[in-house]
Amino acid sequence: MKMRAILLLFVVFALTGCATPALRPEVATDFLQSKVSAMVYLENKTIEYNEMVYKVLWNENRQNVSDFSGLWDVDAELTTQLAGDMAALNLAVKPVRAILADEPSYAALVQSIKATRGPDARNVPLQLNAETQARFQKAGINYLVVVRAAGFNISTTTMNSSGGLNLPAILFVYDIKAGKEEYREMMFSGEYVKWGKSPRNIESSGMAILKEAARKMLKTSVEKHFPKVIGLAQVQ
Amino acid sequence: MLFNHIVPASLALFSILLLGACAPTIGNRVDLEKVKFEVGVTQKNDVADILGLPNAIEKGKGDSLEYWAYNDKPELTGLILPVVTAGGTGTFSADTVTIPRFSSGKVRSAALICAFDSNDILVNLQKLQ
Repeated sequence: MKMRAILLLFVVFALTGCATPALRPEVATDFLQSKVSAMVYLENKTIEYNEMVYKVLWNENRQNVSDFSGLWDVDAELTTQLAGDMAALNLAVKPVRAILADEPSYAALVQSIKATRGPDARNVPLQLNAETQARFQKAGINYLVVVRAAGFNISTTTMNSSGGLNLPAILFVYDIKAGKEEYREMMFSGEYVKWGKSPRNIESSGMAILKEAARKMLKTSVEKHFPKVIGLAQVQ
Repeated sequence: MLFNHIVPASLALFSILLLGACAPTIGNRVDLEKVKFEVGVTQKNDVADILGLPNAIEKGKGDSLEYWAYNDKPELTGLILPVVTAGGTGTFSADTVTIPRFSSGKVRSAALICAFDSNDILVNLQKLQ
């Protein structure tokens, strides 16, 4: 009896661990049949490098931040990429800019996304204002998918000539009809990058390596993870 | 006699170990002291190619200029020191102490500030340290 209880407890723990959450089945069904809009938003247009430097008698942790704001419209490029990758899953997707082409309405949406990080970094549900919501409804959009990321980062040591470029993010699914956030989860995107002598080589030639890696990591995340979220693949 | 051999050998070994120490690889591509940019000629892309991206970019308040700020080296955010501590049974064990980050912020003390006009031409350059 005791053994059975322990086994049952173990199974419950095993099922809980690393479970990928997903949209509620009725929402997922509606999502798959609806028009959707998608958006990627990076709060910081930066790459944060963290490096452990070997000094024989001690190790130093060093940090450097590279700012690319104004040099690369990362939100637009990755939003287009996200919409394309979602469309490859047979979803009817439009990039947000196709609906909110004017700057004030786009800025209002960005403000709503920023507001999801409350005081003391507490999570606040995504809430669009009435005007933005009406714009989406007018365009026949039922759901908004938002990937909100902090910015790129690389953690390495002086000995490495390659490593992971990461884009920690949060994935939101917002129900336009109901006017409420339906789903959110942490979304870790990363890509293995060869940089040679310095990680900062990813900035060379107009950030060619960074841009390529960013596109790849988003594509991989959408292909591997998104089907589970929307019920196209079995949740594990 | 033995002591005469051990000390020089230890010193030599220690020197070799110190030579193995590394420098950060995440700093500017070129030492800021060595760069020579020409006001009115150098373009934004030239600066990015030579130094890498800046630590911070800001639009000027009251002018149409864009300012790029560079630190002279990556910020020190922590140290990991091996510390020998006494174990409970009279043996010694190595431990580590991590000193938390000293400071934060993208540009606390910029060493170089470049100002670009709307045509991406360098119009002002200040070395601050």
